[in-house]
Amino acid sequence: MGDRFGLLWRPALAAGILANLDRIDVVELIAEDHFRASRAGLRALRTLAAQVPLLLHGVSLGAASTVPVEIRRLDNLARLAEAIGVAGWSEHLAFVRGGGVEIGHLAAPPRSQASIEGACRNLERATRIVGTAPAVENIATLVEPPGSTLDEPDWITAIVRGAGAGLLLDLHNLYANAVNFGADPFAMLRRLPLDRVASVHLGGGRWVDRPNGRRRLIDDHLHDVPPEAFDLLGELGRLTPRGLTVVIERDDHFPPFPRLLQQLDEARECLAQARRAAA
Amino acid sequence: MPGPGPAGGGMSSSALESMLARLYTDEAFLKAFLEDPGAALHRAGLDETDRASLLAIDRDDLLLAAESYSAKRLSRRPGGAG
Repeated sequence: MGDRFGLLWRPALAAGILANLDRIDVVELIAEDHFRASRAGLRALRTLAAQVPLLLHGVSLGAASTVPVEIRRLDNLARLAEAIGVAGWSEHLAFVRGGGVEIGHLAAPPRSQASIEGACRNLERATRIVGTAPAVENIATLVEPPGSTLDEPDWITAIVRGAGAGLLLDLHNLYANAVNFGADPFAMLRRLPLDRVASVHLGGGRWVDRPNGRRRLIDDHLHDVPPEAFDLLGELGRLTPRGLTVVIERDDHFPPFPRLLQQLDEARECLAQARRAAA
Repeated sequence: MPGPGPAGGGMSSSALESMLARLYTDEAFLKAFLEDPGAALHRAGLDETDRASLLAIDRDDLLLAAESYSAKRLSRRPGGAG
Protein backbone atom coordinates (compact mmCIF):
# COMPACT_ATOMS: atom_id res chain seq x y z
CA MET A 1 0.00 0.00 0.00
CA GLY A 2 1.26 3.45 -0.84
CA ASP A 3 0.93 6.57 1.25
CA ARG A 4 -2.60 7.83 1.91
CA PHE A 5 -3.78 11.22 3.09
CA GLY A 6 -7.00 12.20 4.82
CA LEU A 7 -8.90 14.24 7.34
CA LEU A 8 -10.69 13.80 10.61
CA TRP A 9 -14.45 13.91 10.03
CA ARG A 10 -16.22 16.87 11.54
CA PRO A 11 -19.79 17.94 10.69
CA ALA A 12 -18.47 21.39 9.77
CA LEU A 13 -16.13 19.75 7.23
CA ALA A 14 -18.64 17.31 5.77
CA ALA A 15 -19.51 19.29 2.66
CA GLY A 16 -15.86 19.96 1.90
CA ILE A 17 -14.86 16.34 2.38
CA LEU A 18 -17.70 15.00 0.23
CA ALA A 19 -16.96 17.48 -2.54
CA ASN A 20 -13.25 16.62 -2.58
CA LEU A 21 -13.07 12.85 -2.28
CA ASP A 22 -10.78 12.80 -5.31
CA ARG A 23 -8.15 14.48 -3.09
CA ILE A 24 -8.91 12.62 0.15
CA ASP A 25 -7.83 8.99 0.44
CA VAL A 26 -9.15 8.22 3.91
CA VAL A 27 -11.47 9.70 6.55
CA GLU A 28 -11.17 9.21 10.29
CA LEU A 29 -14.18 9.25 12.64
CA ILE A 30 -14.18 9.83 16.38
CA ALA A 31 -15.89 6.64 17.53
CA GLU A 32 -17.65 8.15 20.55
CA ASP A 33 -19.37 10.74 18.37
CA HIS A 34 -21.32 7.94 16.66
CA PHE A 35 -22.13 5.45 19.41
CA ARG A 36 -25.69 6.77 19.53
CA ALA A 37 -26.10 7.28 15.81
CA SER A 38 -29.58 6.70 14.44
CA ARG A 39 -30.22 4.06 11.79
CA ALA A 40 -30.22 6.83 9.21
CA GLY A 41 -26.93 8.10 10.60
CA LEU A 42 -25.34 4.66 10.35
CA ARG A 43 -26.69 4.29 6.82
CA ALA A 44 -25.03 7.58 5.90
CA LEU A 45 -21.73 6.39 7.36
CA ARG A 46 -21.99 3.10 5.42
CA THR A 47 -22.56 5.10 2.28
CA LEU A 48 -19.50 7.18 3.07
CA ALA A 49 -17.50 4.01 3.77
CA ALA A 50 -18.40 2.77 0.30
CA GLN A 51 -16.75 5.87 -1.17
CA VAL A 52 -13.66 6.26 1.01
CA PRO A 53 -11.97 4.04 3.63
CA LEU A 54 -13.13 4.99 7.14
CA LEU A 55 -11.01 4.63 10.26
CA LEU A 56 -12.46 4.69 13.76
CA HIS A 57 -10.57 6.66 16.39
CA GLY A 58 -11.45 6.09 20.05
CA VAL A 59 -10.85 8.71 22.72
CA SER A 60 -12.35 7.27 25.90
CA LEU A 61 -11.10 3.73 26.50
CA GLY A 62 -8.25 4.69 28.79
CA ALA A 63 -6.18 1.84 27.40
CA ALA A 64 -2.85 2.79 28.99
CA SER A 65 -3.92 2.17 32.54
CA THR A 66 -3.63 -0.36 35.30
CA VAL A 67 -7.43 -0.19 35.40
CA PRO A 68 -9.12 -2.62 32.98
CA VAL A 69 -10.97 -1.04 30.06
CA GLU A 70 -14.73 -1.36 30.38
CA ILE A 71 -16.39 -4.08 28.33
CA ARG A 72 -19.37 -1.89 27.46
CA ARG A 73 -17.09 0.66 25.78
CA LEU A 74 -15.47 -2.08 23.72
CA ASP A 75 -18.88 -3.51 22.84
CA ASN A 76 -19.91 -0.06 21.57
CA LEU A 77 -16.78 0.10 19.43
CA ALA A 78 -17.29 -3.40 18.07
CA ARG A 79 -20.93 -2.70 17.15
CA LEU A 80 -20.08 0.57 15.43
CA ALA A 81 -17.12 -0.89 13.53
CA GLU A 82 -19.28 -3.71 12.24
CA ALA A 83 -22.25 -1.50 11.42
CA ILE A 84 -20.18 0.89 9.32
CA GLY A 85 -17.60 -1.47 7.91
CA VAL A 86 -14.44 0.37 8.91
CA ALA A 87 -10.95 -0.23 7.58
CA GLY A 88 -9.33 -0.09 11.03
CA TRP A 89 -9.39 1.52 14.44
CA SER A 90 -7.14 3.19 16.94
CA GLU A 91 -6.94 4.40 20.54
CA HIS A 92 -4.61 6.48 22.67
CA LEU A 93 -1.90 5.47 25.10
CA ALA A 94 -3.63 7.41 27.84
CA PHE A 95 -5.74 7.12 30.93
CA VAL A 96 -8.93 9.16 31.06
CA ARG A 97 -10.39 8.37 34.49
CA GLY A 98 -9.25 7.33 37.91
CA GLY A 99 -10.85 6.75 41.27
CA GLY A 100 -14.29 7.18 39.72
CA VAL A 101 -13.41 10.60 38.28
CA GLU A 102 -13.65 11.33 34.55
CA ILE A 103 -10.89 13.70 33.42
CA GLY A 104 -12.72 14.50 30.20
CA HIS A 105 -9.62 14.18 28.06
CA LEU A 106 -6.44 12.17 27.57
CA ALA A 107 -3.86 12.07 30.35
CA ALA A 108 -0.43 10.48 30.56
CA PRO A 109 -0.19 7.70 33.17
CA PRO A 110 2.95 6.94 35.13
CA ARG A 111 5.36 5.42 32.62
CA SER A 112 6.07 2.28 34.58
CA GLN A 113 6.14 -1.48 34.22
CA ALA A 114 2.68 -1.56 35.80
CA SER A 115 1.14 0.68 33.15
CA ILE A 116 2.91 -1.25 30.39
CA GLU A 117 1.40 -4.48 31.65
CA GLY A 118 -1.99 -2.84 32.13
CA ALA A 119 -1.92 -1.45 28.60
CA CYS A 120 -0.97 -4.82 27.11
CA ARG A 121 -3.82 -6.52 29.00
CA ASN A 122 -6.25 -3.83 27.88
CA LEU A 123 -5.16 -4.03 24.25
CA GLU A 124 -5.50 -7.80 24.28
CA ARG A 125 -9.04 -7.45 25.63
CA ALA A 126 -9.84 -4.77 23.06
CA THR A 127 -8.57 -6.91 20.21
CA ARG A 128 -10.59 -9.90 21.38
CA ILE A 129 -13.86 -7.96 21.67
CA VAL A 130 -13.59 -5.66 18.67
CA GLY A 131 -12.13 -8.38 16.47
CA THR A 132 -9.10 -6.46 15.22
CA ALA A 133 -6.16 -4.89 17.01
CA PRO A 134 -6.14 -1.13 17.43
CA ALA A 135 -3.22 1.04 16.46
CA VAL A 136 -2.10 2.96 19.55
CA GLU A 137 -1.35 6.67 19.55
CA ASN A 138 1.20 8.66 21.57
CA ILE A 139 -0.38 11.60 23.37
CA ALA A 140 0.73 15.11 24.23
CA THR A 141 1.18 15.83 27.93
CA LEU A 142 1.83 19.05 29.84
CA VAL A 143 2.99 17.12 32.89
CA GLU A 144 5.84 14.69 33.18
CA PRO A 145 3.86 11.84 34.70
CA PRO A 146 4.88 11.26 38.32
CA GLY A 147 5.89 7.74 39.25
CA SER A 148 7.56 7.14 35.88
CA THR A 149 10.53 4.81 35.66
CA LEU A 150 10.88 4.94 31.88
CA ASP A 151 11.07 7.79 29.43
CA GLU A 152 8.43 8.17 26.73
CA PRO A 153 10.15 6.39 23.79
CA ASP A 154 11.06 3.36 25.95
CA TRP A 155 7.57 3.21 27.43
CA ILE A 156 5.83 3.42 24.04
CA THR A 157 8.18 0.84 22.56
CA ALA A 158 7.53 -1.59 25.41
CA ILE A 159 3.76 -1.37 24.93
CA VAL A 160 3.86 -1.58 21.15
CA ARG A 161 6.22 -4.56 21.21
CA GLY A 162 4.47 -6.22 24.15
CA ALA A 163 0.99 -5.91 22.65
CA GLY A 164 2.07 -6.52 19.06
CA ALA A 165 0.26 -3.30 18.20
CA GLY A 166 0.72 -0.82 15.41
CA LEU A 167 1.81 2.70 16.34
CA LEU A 168 -0.31 5.64 15.23
CA LEU A 169 2.35 8.29 15.51
CA ASP A 170 1.06 11.79 16.25
CA LEU A 171 3.93 13.99 15.14
CA HIS A 172 2.60 17.16 16.74
CA ASN A 173 2.20 15.36 20.07
CA LEU A 174 5.77 14.11 19.74
CA TYR A 175 6.99 17.60 18.85
CA ALA A 176 5.08 19.23 21.72
CA ASN A 177 6.39 16.78 24.33
CA ALA A 178 9.93 17.17 23.02
CA VAL A 179 10.01 20.97 23.05
CA ASN A 180 8.10 21.26 26.34
CA PHE A 181 10.53 19.02 28.17
CA GLY A 182 13.79 19.92 26.48
CA ALA A 183 14.33 17.03 24.07
CA ASP A 184 15.33 16.83 20.41
CA PRO A 185 12.18 15.76 18.54
CA PHE A 186 14.18 14.09 15.77
CA ALA A 187 16.19 12.04 18.27
CA MET A 188 12.94 11.12 19.99
CA LEU A 189 11.43 10.04 16.67
CA ARG A 190 14.38 7.79 15.89
CA ARG A 191 14.03 5.99 19.23
CA LEU A 192 10.45 4.90 18.52
CA PRO A 193 9.58 1.51 16.98
CA LEU A 194 9.31 2.91 13.46
CA ASP A 195 8.79 -0.53 11.94
CA ARG A 196 5.39 -0.52 13.69
CA VAL A 197 4.25 2.87 12.36
CA ALA A 198 1.53 2.56 9.75
CA SER A 199 -0.35 5.78 10.40
CA VAL A 200 0.39 9.36 11.33
CA HIS A 201 -1.56 12.23 12.83
CA LEU A 202 -0.72 15.85 12.13
CA GLY A 203 -2.23 18.60 14.24
CA GLY A 204 -1.49 22.06 15.46
CA GLY A 205 -1.28 24.01 18.67
CA ARG A 206 -0.31 27.26 20.33
CA TRP A 207 2.47 28.52 22.52
CA VAL A 208 1.65 29.97 25.93
CA ASP A 209 3.97 32.06 28.10
CA ARG A 210 3.97 30.98 31.72
CA PRO A 211 4.34 33.32 34.72
CA ASN A 212 7.64 31.57 35.57
CA GLY A 213 9.11 32.69 32.24
CA ARG A 214 8.85 29.31 30.52
CA ARG A 215 6.91 28.63 27.35
CA ARG A 216 4.75 25.61 26.72
CA LEU A 217 3.29 24.31 23.45
CA ILE A 218 -0.31 23.18 23.85
CA ASP A 219 -1.58 20.65 21.30
CA ASP A 220 -5.10 21.99 20.74
CA HIS A 221 -6.02 20.97 17.18
CA LEU A 222 -7.26 24.51 16.58
CA HIS A 223 -4.36 25.69 14.44
CA ASP A 224 -2.57 24.78 11.22
CA VAL A 225 0.01 22.04 11.17
CA PRO A 226 3.34 23.79 11.87
CA PRO A 227 6.41 23.37 9.64
CA GLU A 228 8.16 21.38 12.38
CA ALA A 229 5.54 18.61 12.16
CA PHE A 230 5.99 18.44 8.39
CA ASP A 231 9.77 18.23 8.92
CA LEU A 232 9.22 15.26 11.23
CA LEU A 233 6.96 13.66 8.62
CA GLY A 234 9.74 14.00 6.07
CA GLU A 235 12.23 12.42 8.45
CA LEU A 236 9.81 9.58 9.15
CA GLY A 237 9.38 9.05 5.42
CA ARG A 238 13.15 8.80 5.01
CA LEU A 239 13.43 6.32 7.88
CA THR A 240 10.65 3.92 6.96
CA PRO A 241 9.80 2.57 3.52
CA ARG A 242 6.37 1.44 4.68
CA GLY A 243 3.29 3.12 3.22
CA LEU A 244 1.81 5.58 5.72
CA THR A 245 -1.74 6.79 6.28
CA VAL A 246 -1.51 10.47 7.23
CA VAL A 247 -4.52 12.19 8.79
CA ILE A 248 -4.76 15.88 9.63
CA GLU A 249 -6.74 16.51 12.81
CA ARG A 250 -8.67 19.71 13.31
CA ASP A 251 -11.28 19.94 16.06
CA ASP A 252 -12.58 23.49 15.64
CA HIS A 253 -11.72 27.02 14.41
CA PHE A 254 -11.81 25.56 10.92
CA PRO A 255 -10.05 27.46 8.16
CA PRO A 256 -11.57 27.66 4.68
CA PHE A 257 -11.61 24.13 3.28
CA PRO A 258 -9.04 24.87 0.55
CA ARG A 259 -6.56 25.62 3.34
CA LEU A 260 -7.04 22.09 4.72
CA LEU A 261 -6.61 20.65 1.24
CA GLN A 262 -3.44 22.70 0.88
CA GLN A 263 -2.10 21.20 4.11
CA LEU A 264 -2.93 17.73 2.81
CA ASP A 265 -1.00 18.57 -0.36
CA GLU A 266 1.92 19.75 1.77
CA ALA A 267 1.93 16.43 3.61
CA ARG A 268 1.71 14.55 0.32
CA GLU A 269 4.61 16.49 -1.18
CA CYS A 270 6.64 16.18 2.00
CA LEU A 271 6.41 12.38 1.99
CA ALA A 272 6.94 12.17 -1.78
CA GLN A 273 10.18 14.13 -1.42
CA ALA A 274 11.28 11.89 1.45
CA ARG A 275 10.53 8.79 -0.60
CA ARG A 276 12.58 10.14 -3.53
CA ALA A 277 15.48 11.01 -1.23
CA ALA A 278 15.45 7.56 0.33
CA ALA A 279 15.26 5.72 -3.01
CA MET B 1 12.18 14.54 26.67
CA PRO B 2 9.79 13.47 29.37
CA GLY B 3 11.99 11.25 31.44
CA PRO B 4 11.81 9.14 34.51
CA GLY B 5 10.53 10.95 37.55
CA PRO B 6 11.56 10.19 41.08
CA ALA B 7 12.05 6.60 41.99
CA GLY B 8 8.81 4.74 42.06
CA GLY B 9 6.15 3.57 39.66
CA GLY B 10 5.84 -0.16 39.92
CA MET B 11 2.54 -1.28 41.29
CA SER B 12 1.52 2.19 42.46
CA SER B 13 0.22 3.39 39.09
CA SER B 14 -3.43 2.95 39.99
CA ALA B 15 -3.25 5.18 43.07
CA LEU B 16 -1.29 7.79 41.13
CA GLU B 17 -3.80 7.75 38.27
CA SER B 18 -6.61 8.36 40.77
CA MET B 19 -4.75 11.21 42.41
CA LEU B 20 -3.87 12.81 39.07
CA ALA B 21 -7.49 12.53 37.95
CA ARG B 22 -8.53 14.35 41.12
CA LEU B 23 -5.89 17.06 40.68
CA TYR B 24 -7.00 17.60 37.06
CA THR B 25 -10.69 17.90 37.93
CA ASP B 26 -11.15 19.05 41.54
CA GLU B 27 -10.37 22.76 41.62
CA ALA B 28 -10.43 23.07 45.41
CA PHE B 29 -8.13 20.09 45.87
CA LEU B 30 -5.75 21.40 43.20
CA LYS B 31 -5.62 24.79 44.96
CA ALA B 32 -4.89 23.12 48.28
CA PHE B 33 -2.18 20.99 46.67
CA LEU B 34 -0.52 23.97 44.99
CA GLU B 35 -0.48 25.89 48.27
CA ASP B 36 0.74 23.05 50.48
CA PRO B 37 1.31 19.72 48.69
CA GLY B 38 2.33 17.85 51.82
CA ALA B 39 -0.78 18.86 53.71
CA ALA B 40 -3.07 18.14 50.75
CA LEU B 41 -1.68 14.63 50.42
CA HIS B 42 -1.64 13.97 54.16
CA ARG B 43 -4.95 12.14 54.23
CA ALA B 44 -4.84 10.76 50.67
CA GLY B 45 -3.81 7.28 51.75
CA LEU B 46 -0.81 7.11 49.43
CA ASP B 47 2.27 5.05 50.09
CA GLU B 48 5.56 6.86 50.53
CA THR B 49 6.69 6.24 46.94
CA ASP B 50 3.55 7.72 45.41
CA ARG B 51 3.63 10.60 47.83
CA ALA B 52 7.25 11.43 46.93
CA SER B 53 6.40 11.25 43.21
CA LEU B 54 3.56 13.71 43.59
CA LEU B 55 5.56 16.06 45.78
CA ALA B 56 8.17 16.23 43.01
CA ILE B 57 5.67 17.20 40.29
CA ASP B 58 6.25 20.52 38.53
CA ARG B 59 3.45 22.59 40.01
CA ASP B 60 3.30 25.14 37.20
CA ASP B 61 2.97 22.35 34.63
CA LEU B 62 0.28 20.73 36.77
CA LEU B 63 -1.68 23.98 36.91
CA LEU B 64 -1.43 24.44 33.15
CA ALA B 65 -2.56 20.87 32.53
CA ALA B 66 -5.53 21.25 34.86
CA GLU B 67 -6.51 24.51 33.15
CA SER B 68 -6.22 22.82 29.76
CA TYR B 69 -8.43 19.89 30.81
CA SER B 70 -10.97 22.27 32.32
CA ALA B 71 -11.14 24.29 29.09
CA LYS B 72 -11.64 21.11 27.09
CA ARG B 73 -14.46 19.97 29.36
CA LEU B 74 -16.11 23.39 29.15
CA SER B 75 -15.82 23.57 25.37
CA ARG B 76 -17.96 20.41 25.17
CA ARG B 77 -16.53 19.68 21.77
CA PRO B 78 -17.63 16.16 20.98
CA GLY B 79 -14.77 13.73 20.76
CA GLY B 80 -11.82 16.07 20.86
CA ALA B 81 -9.08 13.95 19.35
CA GLY B 82 -5.75 13.54 21.05
